[in-house]
Amino acid sequence: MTEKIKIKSKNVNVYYGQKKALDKINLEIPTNKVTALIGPSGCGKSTFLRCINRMNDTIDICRIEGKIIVDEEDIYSTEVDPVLLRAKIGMVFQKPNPFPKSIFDNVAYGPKIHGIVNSDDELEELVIYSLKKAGLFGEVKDRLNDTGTSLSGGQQQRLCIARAIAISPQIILMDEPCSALDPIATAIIEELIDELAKNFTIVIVTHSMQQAARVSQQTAFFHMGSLIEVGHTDQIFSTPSQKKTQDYITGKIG
Amino acid sequence: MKEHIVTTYDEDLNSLKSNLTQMGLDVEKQIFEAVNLIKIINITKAKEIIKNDESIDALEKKIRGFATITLSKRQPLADDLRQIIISLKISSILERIGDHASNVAGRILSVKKAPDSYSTDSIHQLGLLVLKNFSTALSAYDQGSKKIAQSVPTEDITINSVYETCFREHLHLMMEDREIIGFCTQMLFVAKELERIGDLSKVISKEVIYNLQGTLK
Repeated sequence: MTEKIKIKSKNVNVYYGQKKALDKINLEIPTNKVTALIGPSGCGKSTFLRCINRMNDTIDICRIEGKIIVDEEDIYSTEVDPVLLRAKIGMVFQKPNPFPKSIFDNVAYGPKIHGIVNSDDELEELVIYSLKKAGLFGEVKDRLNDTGTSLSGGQQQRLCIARAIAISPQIILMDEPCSALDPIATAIIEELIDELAKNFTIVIVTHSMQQAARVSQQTAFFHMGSLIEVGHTDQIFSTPSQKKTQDYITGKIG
Repeated sequence: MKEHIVTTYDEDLNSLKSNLTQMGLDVEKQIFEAVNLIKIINITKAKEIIKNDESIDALEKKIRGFATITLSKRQPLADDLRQIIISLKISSILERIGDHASNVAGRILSVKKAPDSYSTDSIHQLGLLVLKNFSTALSAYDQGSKKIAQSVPTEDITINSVYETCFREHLHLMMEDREIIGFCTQMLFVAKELERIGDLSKVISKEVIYNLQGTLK
């Protein structure tokens, strides 16, 4: 079975000043599937995630070589506007970071600045749609004018997901989206990831092996800046082919 | 062998393994005693074997409880997960084998004495082969050896053919002498119990291979 590939990285090297953070990463990320990036802290998984929406551009000492192709287009070519690129790629961070604005405005902000909607009615419709998609609407429908920061941690994270969805991205990047959440809020987000994967390509960085095993279909294991192994999630967590992967997922040293 | 970062995780897995090995050795002793009964009928010994089966059942429960706690506490993956899965499976197989050994003792209890004309050689021989192959399967688990595990199914083919020979031999005996039909029927049940132990030893060896290579073949 050949899968449609959404993101393709070709020989990607990333340097922070003199230090090489990623070494020749070749990874294909299938369309409308969840890909989990795992590996110890400092292995380069978050760096790789941030290459996909050119977030590393904001770091002066960061230099990137190689190609990242999204839908047949090299996103690092000079013709690509990073702002437009990021409109196509939503991102959710480790700590929920709602704007200090109302719940409604948090979601409405992206569509407004990207000029996605033409009228207030359309905007309202999109905000409601996004909140529903993020599984939050039922809980906040009577208080859309309250500030986003008044919500619980799990709700804030779903608000951030709604905000990411509102700009109708094709890709959603998640950098440890549940590490600050309790098990119930985590379960709600995981349920949401399953649902979102029907329409979006999702790349998630997680330190929880069990979470990676539960939510993703493909898993990539990074170690010291290299991609050690990539494969179907079931295979990676049951019979990894590389010793380093096996040792990492089972927590072994020596 | 690499060790886990968390030392108590290794201790848990080692403890699971030593409990299972102990259960295996206890079952081996039960088979040994039951096979001996075929040669020398001993009522006291037979009762003892039946009684000992209770402690084997208790060990199975202990292993299951321990494996369940380890699963929930460590959420193991890959080879660690397989080690726990096979512990559950093998302990349940060992419990069944224990029942078969106890059933042999039960049959011997009901016959009490062999007819003078009857020779126990063939069933005793079957028992010895079964005992040896069970011990091989247990060593394969203990040593984590694919090579040893692979020899078990091959030996089981021999066991099955010895069982068939026993079966035909007893039919013949019963046709020749109606007086010993009752006794021979019991002995055929004994042979069947032993043959089942042979099959279950083969299942243990397959679990060992699954643990080592990660796939069921």
